[in-house]
Amino acid sequence: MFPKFELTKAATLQEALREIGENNGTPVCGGTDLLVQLRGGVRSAAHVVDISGIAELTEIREEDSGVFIGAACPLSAVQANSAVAEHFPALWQAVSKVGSAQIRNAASLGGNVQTASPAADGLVALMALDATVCLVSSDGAREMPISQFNSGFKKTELRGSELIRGFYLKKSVWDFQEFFKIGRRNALAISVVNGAVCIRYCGDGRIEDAAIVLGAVSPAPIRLKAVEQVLMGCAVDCVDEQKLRDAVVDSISPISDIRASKEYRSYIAGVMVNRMLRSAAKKEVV
Amino acid sequence: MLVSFNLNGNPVEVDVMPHWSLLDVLRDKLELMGTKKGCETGECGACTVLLNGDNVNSCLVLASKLSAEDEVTTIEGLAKDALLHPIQAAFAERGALQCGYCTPGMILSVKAMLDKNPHPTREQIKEGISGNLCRCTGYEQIVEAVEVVIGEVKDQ
Repeated sequence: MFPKFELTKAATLQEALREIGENNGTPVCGGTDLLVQLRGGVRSAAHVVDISGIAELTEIREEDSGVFIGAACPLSAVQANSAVAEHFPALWQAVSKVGSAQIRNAASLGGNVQTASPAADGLVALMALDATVCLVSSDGAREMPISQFNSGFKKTELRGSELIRGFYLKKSVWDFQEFFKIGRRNALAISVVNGAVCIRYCGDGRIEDAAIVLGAVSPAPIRLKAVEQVLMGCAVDCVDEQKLRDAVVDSISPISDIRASKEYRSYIAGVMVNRMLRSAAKKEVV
Repeated sequence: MLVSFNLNGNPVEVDVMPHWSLLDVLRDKLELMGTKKGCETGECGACTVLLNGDNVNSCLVLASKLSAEDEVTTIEGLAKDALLHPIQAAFAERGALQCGYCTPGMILSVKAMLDKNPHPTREQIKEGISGNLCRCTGYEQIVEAVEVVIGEVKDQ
């Protein structure tokens, strides 16, 4: 049983923003984080606003140069979307590994990002893909890079009167993208370590740019710029794996908790980044 | 507040508090005990029902957000009088249940999977049930029961 609260089922974005901005409303979409937190007493809400039926928040819109994913789309809808699968495989893989089918039929990227767990699968992939977070309130709209939006341990720059409207991702930035998740179960696992690796090659097949983001190894998902530097100018199948692994371990600060020790997290982070590079090498057509 | 939705093919109207879960409404208000209460945090799948054909954890669905267009299917909605649904029959034949507690949710997850993909591979079957925990069977008989339903295995 959840603690008592009032519920407004918002039919429009304006109604939702009004209830959130002026009527102490807490937005809920799938409820797979919020309701669990309410039941556990780690959060309280007197007035819950259901935003799962609002058209502007549940669309996935493909344009020539990018794709907009509404914050309240069920993850299963994101998973089923061909534009996401084709242009953003790292995000597609991340979303496919969240929770279970039941969770994915309710949960949303907006919720995943707003809860801002350092182990959040969707958030890690969105960071590697440099998504733009689109925010909206009764006063207007604003945007910011997702790396700026997630500003600390479980902290975002969302203002009290705002909603995340959705995420915009640019197409055709990367030649290779992959996401990995290490967990204690095949499903319904909070990631022990997760990560996304994106690579772009220059004309002669060497690595021109890379984005490597790891989760669950620091207070927030972390972009490993020092590790990306190790890869610059290398052929993808000639990477110094020891150097890469050392750079990964030096860049992260995992903790030990009920899911894993910090030693294991450091170890497996290095292993998995190398494994992602091997996967890229297999796919690279020279 | 009065909430209306379709339950196992019939319209229902229930007076609910905003903070009640669909699981609590099904069991305590509608007295349908087939849907089980396990973890109440979305991690075990015992409470699985179908909402508009999709399997969801009813412990995390707020009953008050349902509307007249929504279709809820519980385990009670599968059999037609005395005639078991093929998934139920296969589970019984293959010993895919022992204590039976995970079974309603498990069967509904199988139904949701097969309604979308009528011929899953073994790997896809395992993925399809990965949101439903079973402590008794070790899952092998459950996977076999699904293979019987899709015709991969001849039923004895």
